Amino acid sequence: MGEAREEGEGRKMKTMFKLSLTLAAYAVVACVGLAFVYNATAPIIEASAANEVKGALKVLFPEASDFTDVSSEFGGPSGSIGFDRAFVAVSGDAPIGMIVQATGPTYKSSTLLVAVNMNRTVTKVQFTANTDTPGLGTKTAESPFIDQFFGKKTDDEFKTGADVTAISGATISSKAVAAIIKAAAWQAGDYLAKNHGAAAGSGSAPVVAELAPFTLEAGLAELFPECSFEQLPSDAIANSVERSVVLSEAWLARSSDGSAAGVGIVAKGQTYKASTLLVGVLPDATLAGLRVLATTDSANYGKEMLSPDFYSLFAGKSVADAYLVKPSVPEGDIDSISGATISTQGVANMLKIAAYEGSRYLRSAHGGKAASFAEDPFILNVIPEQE
Amino acid sequence: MKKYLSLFTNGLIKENPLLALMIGLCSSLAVTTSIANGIGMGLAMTFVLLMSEIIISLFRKLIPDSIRIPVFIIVIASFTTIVDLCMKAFTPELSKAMGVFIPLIVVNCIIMGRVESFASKRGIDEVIFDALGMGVGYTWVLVGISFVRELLGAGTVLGFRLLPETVSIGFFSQAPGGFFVFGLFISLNAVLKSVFLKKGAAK
Repeated sequence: MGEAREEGEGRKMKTMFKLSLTLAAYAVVACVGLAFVYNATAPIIEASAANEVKGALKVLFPEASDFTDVSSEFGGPSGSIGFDRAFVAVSGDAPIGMIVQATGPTYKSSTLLVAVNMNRTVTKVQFTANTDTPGLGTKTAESPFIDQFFGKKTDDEFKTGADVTAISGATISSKAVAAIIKAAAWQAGDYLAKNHGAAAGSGSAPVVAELAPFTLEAGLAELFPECSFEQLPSDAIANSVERSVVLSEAWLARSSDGSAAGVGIVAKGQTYKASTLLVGVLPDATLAGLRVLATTDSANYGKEMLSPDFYSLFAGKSVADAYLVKPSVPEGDIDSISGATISTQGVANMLKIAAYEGSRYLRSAHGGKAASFAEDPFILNVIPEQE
Repeated sequence: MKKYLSLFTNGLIKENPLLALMIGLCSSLAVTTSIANGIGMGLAMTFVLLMSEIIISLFRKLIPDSIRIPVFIIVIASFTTIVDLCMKAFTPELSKAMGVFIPLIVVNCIIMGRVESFASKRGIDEVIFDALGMGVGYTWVLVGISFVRELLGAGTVLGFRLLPETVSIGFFSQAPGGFFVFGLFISLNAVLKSVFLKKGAAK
């Protein structure tokens, strides 16, 4: 009985072995066949892909006879604008210019080919991808908007309102496209000057400010310079006004003589999506300032709250101010970030609540000045429902 | 000879893979927006079908029954890759228009079905005619559907404009238009079938 089973198992093993070998043999034959076909076709496929790219480049630089791919040695990304590929256009042996493919955020995102000649002049610009709003942002790819860049010097300003006319209804796209072209053109001019003896330019590389949130430590250090910080117990400062804003942390800043220099309050709440703010409150019932620790709002809109142009507006503001956002409230005291009223309203509400609670704490625990609030300190911005 | 002829014509109408067996429909609906696509897809498919059927028929006695499906897949996948690579190399435009549907020939039910039900049981002579019949049957339907869709949807035939742009009906270029035309072809096939079968019965 036992022997029979053993024999059965042995046969089973043998069949399995045989089957795997058979399958392996078929696979090997197939792979060898494919390897031959691949070897035969790979160079042709590569050549046709390269030709296709060169055909597209030729549209931008018709007088060039060939293009050399210099993507690997071209400069790295400039802020949020990345340079995907770069080609030097050659006529005969002499370089006559270059083409850079750059991708950057516009209303959504755009990819452009920018052609620059040896005189640091933009000769042509062409979109390869544009995911902006059809009929508005996509107009940046069309004449007359795109034409105004042809013939521009790479050292020009490329500023909407100054030397670039924005498309009405698509100012953000217009501004962003101009910035991408400027960044790509400047880098291209620089590369040509360094490597191929083209005309040297003036000025430095365009700085596309990369908006980055603060860390808690950096934010506190900026709001309360030369202070030491201690975290307050979680019940010291809590939001007693509006449930949708959470005051999650509070740090007491002490100046070198040990007196209270203010509190930094971390407020979390809804903006267009969600944001975390650090609000600094001083004992004299004014704000030390605002720093943004995190936001998931839209790029070019709510994300602009990360820009110093916005967050530095609040230092010195009284905690008793209205914190109402124009133009929704015409007599408001805060200007909305362009195109991002909802984000601004969310920030303003968080700011107001944190300021109120912070000054209340400073008054009761550290003898801070009482703010003279209006009768109802808590008229908040009414954030419209989002679609 | 008659046997071969009936094997060949079998795939054209009576057992047309698309209209009668109704297998392998996804690709046929997806790529039939222009005649060039229809021809390209049909030829690519016919090539893979023919080569796979030939190889599997030749080796049918050497393929153990329990692992026949993996072996079929290896064979079909190899030929599909060959077609894909060749199209990329020699007809890059067409290859781009077909996109993912060329690699997806691997999982086309028509090939798997013919290989399993026919090629693995018959000799190479019969298999060649079956594959050609099925391939041509697939191709003519594809070309027919794409002719209607290109003419009505884009107003062109093989890229030449026949109808002015203003009278083209965008619906036919879209997926629903594909289904619509496909339905018409099924009924057309039913008519053809009844005509041919009647003829056969009368004889």
